[in-house]
Amino acid sequence: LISSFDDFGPPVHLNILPRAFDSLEMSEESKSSKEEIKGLDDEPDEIQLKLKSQESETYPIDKNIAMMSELIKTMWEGDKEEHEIPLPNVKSSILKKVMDFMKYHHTNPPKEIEKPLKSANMHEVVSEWDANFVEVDQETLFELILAANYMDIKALLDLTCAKVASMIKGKSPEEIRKRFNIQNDFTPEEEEAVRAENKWAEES
Amino acid sequence: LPRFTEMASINDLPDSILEFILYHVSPYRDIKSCSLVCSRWHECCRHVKEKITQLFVDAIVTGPVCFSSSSNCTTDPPVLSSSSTTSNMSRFSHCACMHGSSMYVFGGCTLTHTTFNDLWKINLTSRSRERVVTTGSYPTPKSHAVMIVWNDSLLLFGGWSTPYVYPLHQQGILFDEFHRYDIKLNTWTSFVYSDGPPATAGHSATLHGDVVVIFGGLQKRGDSSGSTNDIYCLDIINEAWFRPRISEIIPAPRYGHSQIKLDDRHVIIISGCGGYNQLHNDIWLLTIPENICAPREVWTWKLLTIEGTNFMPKQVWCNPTCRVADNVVVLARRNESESEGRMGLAQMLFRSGRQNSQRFGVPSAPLAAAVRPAVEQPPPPPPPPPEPVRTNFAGSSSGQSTPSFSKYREESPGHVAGHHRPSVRPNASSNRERRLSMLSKYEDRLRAAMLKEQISKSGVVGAPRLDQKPACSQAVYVLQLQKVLSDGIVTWVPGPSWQGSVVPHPRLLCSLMLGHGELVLCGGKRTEECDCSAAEPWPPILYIYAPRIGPP
Repeated sequence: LISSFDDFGPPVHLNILPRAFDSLEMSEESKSSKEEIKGLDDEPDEIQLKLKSQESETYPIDKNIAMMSELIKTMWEGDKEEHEIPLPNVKSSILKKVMDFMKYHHTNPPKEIEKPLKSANMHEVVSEWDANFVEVDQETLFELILAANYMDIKALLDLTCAKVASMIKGKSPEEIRKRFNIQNDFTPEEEEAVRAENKWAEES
Repeated sequence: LPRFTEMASINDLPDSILEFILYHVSPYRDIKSCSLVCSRWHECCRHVKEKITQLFVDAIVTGPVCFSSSSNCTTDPPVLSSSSTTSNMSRFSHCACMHGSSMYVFGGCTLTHTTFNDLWKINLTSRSRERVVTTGSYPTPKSHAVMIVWNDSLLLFGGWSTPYVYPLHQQGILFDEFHRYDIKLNTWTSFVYSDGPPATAGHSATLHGDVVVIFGGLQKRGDSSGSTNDIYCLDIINEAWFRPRISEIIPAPRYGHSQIKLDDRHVIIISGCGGYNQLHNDIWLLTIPENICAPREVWTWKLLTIEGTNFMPKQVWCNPTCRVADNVVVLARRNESESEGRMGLAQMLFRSGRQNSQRFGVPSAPLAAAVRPAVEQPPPPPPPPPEPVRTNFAGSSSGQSTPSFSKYREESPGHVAGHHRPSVRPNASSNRERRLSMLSKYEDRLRAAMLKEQISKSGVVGAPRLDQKPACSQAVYVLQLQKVLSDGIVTWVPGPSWQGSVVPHPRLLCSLMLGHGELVLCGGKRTEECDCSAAEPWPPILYIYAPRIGPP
């Protein structure tokens, strides 16, 4: 989860399974020492996890692919016996799209998106597949953002936020409000004051 | 997280995510539009702006920074006036200033002695540039003028026009013109003042409230010209010029220096050139009294102590400078000695010279000239230098009688308690330093050659070739101002590195302005040492910014 704008570093997971197995995690991470750890901790590569949506439908996915989600990764490393991952915040339709994204990008990490956006046309900013992936209606797009945030999938969050930004780029305030159905809660005086604001940021 | 059974809207996104989205939009027009959407967006935009500003300030100090020319961006359809396809924006010694989401560029000149009086407007959102078709009374084509923004107007003063190549020995023309460009009305208006400053070029100015403070420059004096350390102020509202009372110790006259506004009451003057072979390497603080227009109040000058001389550029004149938060960014050619990682020549000489000049309250100017390695020719100052034997060098503020030029002077020129004594033989006291510096240079070369031999003998693979200097690379120098008001100290710190292996070529006489989280560099000409071919692209505008790879 992104808890604050400042905190785009290592994600802070709130109310997730306790990280009681930290030390175990560390050793698991180094594949080189895998030969040393035998027996019950052996991990075959083809494990299938079952992601459970808000509507309690389950979808199978390769464990390695699912690791793109930091949330799933943490939950998995918390309890390797549990192969069903509940995601009560994510609707089925959205979960399916998220899984498509993870499957495509598992071996195909996307390039960093340049900021600020060079263009309002996503096809000029990201790959063809990605641009098409976010050609969805607004509600789906925001659901995807929330899912990406909840499941902590950086690449998906980057892509979906860039898409929204592309929809904002070049528009007037009124157009933005209409597009996203936002209420203008400024008084005329406040609006005038903001319009007159010349300073970029507070001069140091 | 509150969850809705119906589908999400943008209002469901937490602030941190909205801010991340806003982080992608152009920090110019788009951020402004977003600020106006609603109060929540306004607040988020404020955070994003702070973030971007801080990111850039950190990057300019600790690095890395990147650069790009505007052609990199595919943008919204650029707005170009039809004349711009034929007219060229390349120039140097022009004026530039920022107004909202646009940068305005006026005048300037080229190597082929063309001087301009056109006005360009660069749209920082779309990165397009447009030659503005203005109305009103145009200023004369000129370069080395000064232009500042005041409300929705551009105020332009002074300047110089290149002489024609033929007939020979023609002096340039200095201007005392004052013009105002009204942005909303797109009109130039000319103002004539009876009590204004004399024709000046290579001066500098900053705005303090509604008063323009102009310092220095190459000033017209009768039939000749000379560098000055005068301060002229324009009270814009009352349309009146005045000259403040100043303290006893004042900086040597100069042009091509930089004037940086610290706050409404403090100004910093950096280096500059006093005349032929008189490069200054000092930094001064000017303190303005609370009531800027009060006639009796004294404005005080103070020479600042310079720390971190390891990291300073060889000299600062005709170099672009710009203030970024508590730092002054200076672009200069990378010092050769830096690449060898040892004490810079500049620093050695500067240190030794300072002891001599303490009693004058100003470092000696010919010393500063010697700071450049003796083998290099200092570039000629942009306006033709005043010939040293010409008379009428009356002291600017104290009315000192004309000094005798036949006397050989051992001590440094410069200001001693308000007296102005320019040097007859500017290199007189620098001979010793110059010999020392040449010896040092020979020593360095010897050492480098020996080291190189050693390395090639020992067969160390991948050792850097010491004869391969980055001869032609632009370096970013950073002068920190945190201790100016408290301790009278400015500190040079190691500047940021460039991201990537390609570095921009060094430029002189370009403009450098702070945009929104980026520096905008415009125009300029190649330095003499620049070894790039004439065929290489020389983009008129470069943007220097912090790479935004990943979230902040």
